[in-house]
Amino acid sequence: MVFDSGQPIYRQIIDDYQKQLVRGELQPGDKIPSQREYAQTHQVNPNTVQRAYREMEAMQMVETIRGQGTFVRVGGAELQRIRMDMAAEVLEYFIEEMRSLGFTQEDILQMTARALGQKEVEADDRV
Amino acid sequence: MIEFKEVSKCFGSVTALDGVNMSFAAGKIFGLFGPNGAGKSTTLKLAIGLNRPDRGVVLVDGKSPLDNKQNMAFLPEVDHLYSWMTLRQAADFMRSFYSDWDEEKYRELLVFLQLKEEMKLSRISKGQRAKCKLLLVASRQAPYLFLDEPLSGIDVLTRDEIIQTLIRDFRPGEQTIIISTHEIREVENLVDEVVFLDNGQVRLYGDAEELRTQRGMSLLDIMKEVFRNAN
Amino acid sequence: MPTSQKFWALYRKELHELRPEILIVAGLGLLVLILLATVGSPARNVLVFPWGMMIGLAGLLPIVSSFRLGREWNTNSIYLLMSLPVKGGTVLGAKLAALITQYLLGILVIGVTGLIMAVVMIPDLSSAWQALSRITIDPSLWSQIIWGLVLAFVFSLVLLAYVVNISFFSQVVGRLVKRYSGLLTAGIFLFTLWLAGKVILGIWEGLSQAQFIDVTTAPLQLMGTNTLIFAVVAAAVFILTVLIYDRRTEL
Repeated sequence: MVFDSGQPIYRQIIDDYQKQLVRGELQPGDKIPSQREYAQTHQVNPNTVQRAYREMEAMQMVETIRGQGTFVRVGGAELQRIRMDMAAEVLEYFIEEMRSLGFTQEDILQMTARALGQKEVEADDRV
Repeated sequence: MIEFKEVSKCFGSVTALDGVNMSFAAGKIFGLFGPNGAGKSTTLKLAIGLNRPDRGVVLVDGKSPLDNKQNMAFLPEVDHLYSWMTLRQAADFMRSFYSDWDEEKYRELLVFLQLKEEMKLSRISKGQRAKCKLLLVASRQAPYLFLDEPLSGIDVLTRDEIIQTLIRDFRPGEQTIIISTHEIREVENLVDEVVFLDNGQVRLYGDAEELRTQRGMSLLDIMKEVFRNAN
Repeated sequence: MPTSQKFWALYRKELHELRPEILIVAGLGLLVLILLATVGSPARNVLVFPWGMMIGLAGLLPIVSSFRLGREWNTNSIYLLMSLPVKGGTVLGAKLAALITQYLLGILVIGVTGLIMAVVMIPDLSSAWQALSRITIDPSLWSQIIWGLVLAFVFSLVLLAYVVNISFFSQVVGRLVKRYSGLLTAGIFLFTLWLAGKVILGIWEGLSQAQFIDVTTAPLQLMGTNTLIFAVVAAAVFILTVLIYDRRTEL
């Protein structure tokens, strides 16, 4: 994963893990790389990784068991909540951008429906 | 912790540092950024005691840098090792001076950096020489590690190895690393805190992540903006 | 790390850098011996001259090598030396010790070569020895001669250290400035040589005025005193150099 140097890196680490969780690439009980491993593979400051991991622990996304490693904790309802939170963030950004381009609520709804319909057609075509 | 209190340093008619105040807390990676001639090298040399300030005071853990040399590892921009030595001879030499020499790390890094002990320092490529210099400072458990332009003139693959070496052995909270470079992009994701120097003065300093959040830009873009405004 | 270990590491490094000069003298000795073996009898005697020259070399080469101190700055290894946790006394002491070693090795080569030459060139060793022993020499004179030789050797060592220390001093002071340091070094070297000479003469005058020495003082005692005076002045110059290196020298 390439980090966007314009955004705080620890946030990007957390976001990346959240995405993996939401997509099901990580299951509760899965072991995630140790802080040091992560820092090395992604070439980031171990302090930054520590900050990210600590926040994930505070968010109860993961838990560290001494001597064994860090494991994914969240699942079920918790995961759904994170999923909804992430969706809310994306929606907020989307709506703000569309509004700043001058579109009204009806415009946005129409365009979204059309774009979604388009996507369905494309998906069908591929099949 | 390293403190610079109202430090000024001139070399002849050139003012390298002009009444600067800086402090480097222990256990973090610092990026010392700025254009050529900003005073980055001078800052490092003053911290190690290779130069003395004309005015002001430099303190390392509350004492003079000269009393702290055993805690310091320095990787200068120049080729400072005896070129007739092999890597083995250079390592032997260093071993005799530093009680924090870590033989296991040395062996590991030899393999990781793909270096051979029989290599004669005068006969190897620039990239290999840079790796040798790094090997000798990284094979220690030194509380302070100073790197002056560790990546300049080095090919991309070697740069990767160098950065990986720095990360894998960094001991957060215990070790302090100060990297002076104008290649900000390479070390962007590596540094905890940054100091931007220009013409011997501090233009900006702070926590890297906070600066990114505040300004919504990378450190590189922040520096460009800072220096554009200065001019 | 104990200072002795650091000293030893520095000493070995210095010796390694002096290898070419040491090998020159050793090579010359070997050359003389080869010529000795291959050249016929009357021509052999000429070899005494190159052998004599080797003595001069053995004494001069270390002094020439001592001016290599400046190279640490030119090759940037001064960055390494000054960042090491080691005091100036150890750094300069190791250099001095290495130069003295270079000198001693040179003397050794000369001695061994001379011995072999004597054995080969003096056709009848036993009769020569008999002739020598027939010269009745007062036993006390013998011991005086032996002591004289020993003192001469010790004095040569002290004299070497004396000149080397002045060389170090002039180079360390010379490097305090960025430009014309070579010129400054040369000037300070000559000046200090002259000044130290004056100081030594002054000490001698003081001694004779205080009547510690006079016309009746034995030559051996004079030699010993001279050696001591040179040693003290050499040590003073060394201490001064170390002080400057530790307190004033910077990159």
